[in-house]
Amino acid sequence: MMKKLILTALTFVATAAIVRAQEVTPILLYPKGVINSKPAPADYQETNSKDWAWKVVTPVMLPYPADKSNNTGTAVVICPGGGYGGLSMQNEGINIAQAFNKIGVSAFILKYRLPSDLIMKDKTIGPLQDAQTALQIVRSRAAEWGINPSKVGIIGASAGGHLASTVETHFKQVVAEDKSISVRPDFAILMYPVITFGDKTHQGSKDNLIGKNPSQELVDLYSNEKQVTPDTPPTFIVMAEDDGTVPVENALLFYSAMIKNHVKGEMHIYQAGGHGFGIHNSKSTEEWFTWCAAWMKANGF
Amino acid sequence: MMKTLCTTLLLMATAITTFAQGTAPAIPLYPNGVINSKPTPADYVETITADTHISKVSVPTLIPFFPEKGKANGSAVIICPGGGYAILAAGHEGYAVAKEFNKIGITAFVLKYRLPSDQIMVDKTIGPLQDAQTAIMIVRKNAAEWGINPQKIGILGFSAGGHLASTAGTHFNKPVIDNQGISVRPDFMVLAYPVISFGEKGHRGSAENLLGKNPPQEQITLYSNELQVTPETPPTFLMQAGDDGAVPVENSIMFYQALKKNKVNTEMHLFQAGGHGFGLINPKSKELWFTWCAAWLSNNGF
Repeated sequence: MMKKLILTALTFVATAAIVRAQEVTPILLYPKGVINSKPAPADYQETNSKDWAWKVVTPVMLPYPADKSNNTGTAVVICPGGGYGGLSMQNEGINIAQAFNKIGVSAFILKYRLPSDLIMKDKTIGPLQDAQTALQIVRSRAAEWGINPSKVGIIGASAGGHLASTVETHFKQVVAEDKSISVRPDFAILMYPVITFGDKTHQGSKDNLIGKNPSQELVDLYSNEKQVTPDTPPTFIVMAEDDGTVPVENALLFYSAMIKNHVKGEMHIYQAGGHGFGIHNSKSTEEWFTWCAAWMKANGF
Repeated sequence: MMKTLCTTLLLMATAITTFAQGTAPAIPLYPNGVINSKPTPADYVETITADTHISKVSVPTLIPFFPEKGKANGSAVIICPGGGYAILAAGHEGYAVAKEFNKIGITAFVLKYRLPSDQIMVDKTIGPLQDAQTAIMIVRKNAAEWGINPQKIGILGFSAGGHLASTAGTHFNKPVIDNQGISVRPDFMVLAYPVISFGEKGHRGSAENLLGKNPPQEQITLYSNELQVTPETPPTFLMQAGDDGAVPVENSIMFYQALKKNKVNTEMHLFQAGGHGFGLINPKSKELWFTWCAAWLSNNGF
């Protein structure tokens, strides 16, 4: 009797564990081998804490497909922030994915490689390769998840916002291996993003991506306010005036470039909230995600 | 009997006239005679259209909207309707907004300001600002009587009314009235698709109406309010739509940048669509800017 009970209990636990694991079975971006990579040194191994990840060697996507009951057919690839030195997987990944699931949007958290000469031949394009590849995978497997391949957006926070804004402005510069599937996101959402590598930059993100003494050409290439064109997808921006890490001018620069190029978009700049507030700004009673959801809907996503 | 009926009718008519809008009679800004005025020509007569567009104001007033008893939170706001300094869109950019403020406990006053005109003013460039500064002074002076905290008196403006409001919020150290030692600095500003600049990105119509066709650069600079922001400028809420076809959205951005540079607390919401002049409700969005504004006011203690 006791034995049976224990067995049953164990089975339950095991099943629960499997189901849980199945929910977030990571999708390898490069099943045939990571592109633009060098053999990782023995001491360069992915580390994870409860909320963060570092030293990603094998980039993956964590799928959070929308429930069939409310699936809108829209999907987002989520780029967590962390200054191109780490990945804020919980606050700027899982929490955001869950919020999207609630409004029927499938979400894929991108655990991208952080720029490093130790594991990459050209670290400046590593994160962009991972993001472009992620968009391609979501599009190529769209039917599986009930996703409309022309409703695939990108969202990023902080340095992840730099990556997301790079994705939405560099889609003609395809650095992914596959050149056949579009890497242009259909919309973008930028949370307190790093945009510029100019005067108002976030030095840490810039140094990590393009090194301490980059050429002016490289600085301009990744100053995404300079890369906006009329083909840049509709963009939603949220930030706080008192951001002490990334100057609010980053948002203003990008928005101004959008206006100049007649790119559709919406921008909300809270008075307070600081940097890294994630899905919920505790310094305000207003929820930016509600505005974002309304904006997506108004744009057909 | 007939006489009584006539009197009653007359009283009713008067009541309707004075209370046509607002919850109390309109308050004349200048009971002892309008300052900076010329004798009003016979054909300069205040008119109001069916959609509540007022023109040719020669006797400026404040139209008060008091919240229901027990609902007032002590804050007040003076509302400047827009209309390119040519008319006042007093309905959807005035009375309707005042009623919303009452719902959140804020006492509101719609400012029926004079529109710049050489016909009725000695110096038309300062006429609207005189009216706005006088309005602030009157509300502050009567604060106790009206249950208002004299340190919680803000100003709100739409479009050209946003130019007037932002002028009031940046020119308070240069009163253009006899302010009787009473501060004419508003405690907060709410600027809805405001005209800010008279420079390259300005709204030509508003600039021409206020300053004339070929104003000196000095005047343009003085009334380009993005150039007049200081660290003493009050906290500001900005709202506009990116596709505004009348006032470029750069007006909000320039003002925001100046506020940021001067470390003034501010919040800005830029809709993707909505055009110009939508008032309280942007038909192109499901989101209500007034709700954001109410939250911002509350977060700032107003």
